[in-house]
Amino acid sequence: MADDNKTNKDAEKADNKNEDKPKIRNKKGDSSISHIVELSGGVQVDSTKRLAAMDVGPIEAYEGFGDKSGEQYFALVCEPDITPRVRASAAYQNISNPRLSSLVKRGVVYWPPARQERYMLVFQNNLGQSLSPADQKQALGLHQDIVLEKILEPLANCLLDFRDKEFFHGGIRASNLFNGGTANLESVMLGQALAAPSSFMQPVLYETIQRAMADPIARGRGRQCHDLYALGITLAVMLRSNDPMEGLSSADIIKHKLEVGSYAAVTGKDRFKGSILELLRGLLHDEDDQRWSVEEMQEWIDGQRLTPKQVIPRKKADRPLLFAGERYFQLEKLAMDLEVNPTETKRIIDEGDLEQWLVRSMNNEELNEHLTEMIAVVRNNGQGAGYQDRLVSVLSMVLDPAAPIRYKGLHMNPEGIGTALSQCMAKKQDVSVFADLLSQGIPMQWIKEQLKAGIESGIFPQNFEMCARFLRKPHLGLGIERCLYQLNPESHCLSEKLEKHHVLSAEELLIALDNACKGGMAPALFIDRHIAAFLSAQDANYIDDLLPMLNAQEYHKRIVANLRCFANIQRRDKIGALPHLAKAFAELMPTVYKRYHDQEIREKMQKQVGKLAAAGDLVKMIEEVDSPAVANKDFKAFKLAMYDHKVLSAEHAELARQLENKKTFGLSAGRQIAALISCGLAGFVILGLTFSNFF
Amino acid sequence: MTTKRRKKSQSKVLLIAGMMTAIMIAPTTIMLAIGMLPTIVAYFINKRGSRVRALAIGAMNLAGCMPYVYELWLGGHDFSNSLHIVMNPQVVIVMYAAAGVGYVIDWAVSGFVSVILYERGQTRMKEIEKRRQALVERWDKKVTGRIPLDAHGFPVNEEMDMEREPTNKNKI
Repeated sequence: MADDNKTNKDAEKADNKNEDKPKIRNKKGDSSISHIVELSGGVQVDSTKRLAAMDVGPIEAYEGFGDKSGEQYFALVCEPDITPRVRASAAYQNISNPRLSSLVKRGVVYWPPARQERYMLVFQNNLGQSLSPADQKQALGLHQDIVLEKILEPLANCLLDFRDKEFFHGGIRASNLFNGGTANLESVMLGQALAAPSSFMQPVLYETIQRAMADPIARGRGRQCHDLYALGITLAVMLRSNDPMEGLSSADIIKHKLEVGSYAAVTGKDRFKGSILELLRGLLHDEDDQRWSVEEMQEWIDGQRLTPKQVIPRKKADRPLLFAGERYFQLEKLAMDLEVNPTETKRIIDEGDLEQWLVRSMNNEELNEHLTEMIAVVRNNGQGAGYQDRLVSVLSMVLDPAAPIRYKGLHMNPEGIGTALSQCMAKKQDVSVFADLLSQGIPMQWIKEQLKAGIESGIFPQNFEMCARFLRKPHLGLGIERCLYQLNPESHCLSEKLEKHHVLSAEELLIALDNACKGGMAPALFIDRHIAAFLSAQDANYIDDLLPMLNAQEYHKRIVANLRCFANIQRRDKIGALPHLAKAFAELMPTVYKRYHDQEIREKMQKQVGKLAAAGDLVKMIEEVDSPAVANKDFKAFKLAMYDHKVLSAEHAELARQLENKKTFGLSAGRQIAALISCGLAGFVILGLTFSNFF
Repeated sequence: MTTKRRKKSQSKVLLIAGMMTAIMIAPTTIMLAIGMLPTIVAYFINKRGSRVRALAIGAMNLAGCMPYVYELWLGGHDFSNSLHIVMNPQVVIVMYAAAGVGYVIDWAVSGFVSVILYERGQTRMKEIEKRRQALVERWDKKVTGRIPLDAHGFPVNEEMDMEREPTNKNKI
């Protein structure tokens, strides 16, 4: 798993490097702002020319063109709260299929209307018109042969390419099929689905029952079996003359599919003849592992007649369960509606209605035992605040393990939690529900239920175990922000300090901060909760060792940790000079200089840092200001200076005491000298007398 | 213990030897007893520390006595001669004047040296003050040791100030 993560990260880095680094001609704050965004390779996007027909939900499309070639493009300008599929874009770019619109450019640009950076995807504009605009009736009544020849065959080729590149499209639907600018469906084209999370724009109809139950933002990464299901629905929509689910709400569509199965729900009264029945039944099988694969579909296209696996009807109870005034015969439907009335859910458990229904009407003693076990676990975890929500969530996943996690109004596949959390954070909404969900280990419980039910979700629990750990401590670099970047590695950094930027890598982060500092606008400190979490998720080596310092009480330690972290990135990613960022750091440095005792070292350091800041070299700056050898030397010298001061002070005090009495000061010494002189003089006299008397 | 006892016995031996010598050269002893009277007085009347002054006076006093001691020794070493010399007022004046010279030397030299040393003390005080000031300028007030410091040698209060992040910075 660790190796996989590493490989993924390496691949992502490589992808990011392959992304276009568009030259941005228009400058922020310029009075004569250009409305043309100029990208590399002579691709230009006109920010005033909308292409509403190519919009993808809230993601707006604009006209683009080649400045020399005259090629027509359309550019999708991604919204900051909707994570585009950056990794999938790289895979898509490697697929060469005439029925797909080429992804010409992708990357971050400065978008003049928003006055901030946005992620942009530029496609060749050769799609033409949609075969079935979303606002029109989803029943085209096309002839079977046309559908098979003009639509199925090209899409089957696309799906074979997707399989080879391990790419999940997530946007196969009638409204995303285009005529390619030709009449009579001669060149049907498949539109893209890269500007938003997987299946974000797919109507409930085109999603399998389980994925349809999840919120669009939280459907998670899909697999090819889901694309094949969407293809089956698309074919049915093309063929059918009536829409049996017209006017139904999303929940009703899901319930209808649960009631009669997808095939029957989609085809309704339309009766298809011939072999296409096999194809539709094969593609619309409600069990993912029983659905036709792309190879099976290709074999069918090639003329082999296969028999779709038998659809086993969903189990229904002999007698209904009365819940909130409604009669329920199916576990899945009951699981869907439990959250609507948590009090009633508690009642059917406490009064034993559910137990009786499971045992007597569903004849499922085993499920009842498991349910009782799980209810006991939830009760043991406390019946205080949040008990009913936990109970509903656990009950829902026990009754319908294939369904997404349902918790406090959120419906998410575990792989979609990241994109949902990202949206919630970008919109500055309350994320406490996500924190509760992850800290209580509900996703891990969901995975266990899947395994128990024999469903292969392919999701590893490690990510969620890590998130539960991140939430135990509220420190910088941990918390819900760390969960966000762990669960959604494609998310750009959502720091408030980078509101006008769209940062996807550590390198971009430094460049964005350098640009932000250009106007002299620098924050008190750079690394906030989001930046710390973002960098930690990008590469633990950037920041994890520095987290204790970043969380330290002492301001100077946090400054040093900020600088060291950015220096690590500058060195490891071989980023050029960052003079504005370095200058901003230099302004923060006086607090760090104060951590050296010696004024001379401080002054020397300040001078040196000034030079290095001008050169934009963060690596040398940190070596200058945070050298253990210099610090040790400084401390030792300080201790010696303290000793000197102490000795001098003692001498000063003694001298002052002695000098207080001027009359006696030095008298003793004076007398000793006088005695010496006197003795000497007397000695000479006596010696002279001795000589004169005796010699 | 042994050293003290040895010193005591040594001083006893010296005292006995001195007394015996004084008895043996009694005429000289009498002359010196009278001639060295200023020294004896100086030794006993001055306060503690002034015994050095007695040494200065005594040395000159002895020099003043020595011509007459030689006269006694060369003119016949007996009591009559000794008394004859000592009874001469001029002799006494010379002896006592020599002691006076010793006193003057003590007064003048000690005064002069005291003034010089006082000035040197003042200069040293200023020098120390200057060096302490230089230390404070280079190492800050904490070098004085009067401020409570943490394990890294930084004032405890300053550390608390440094924890505060400035709030007046512009946001990006």
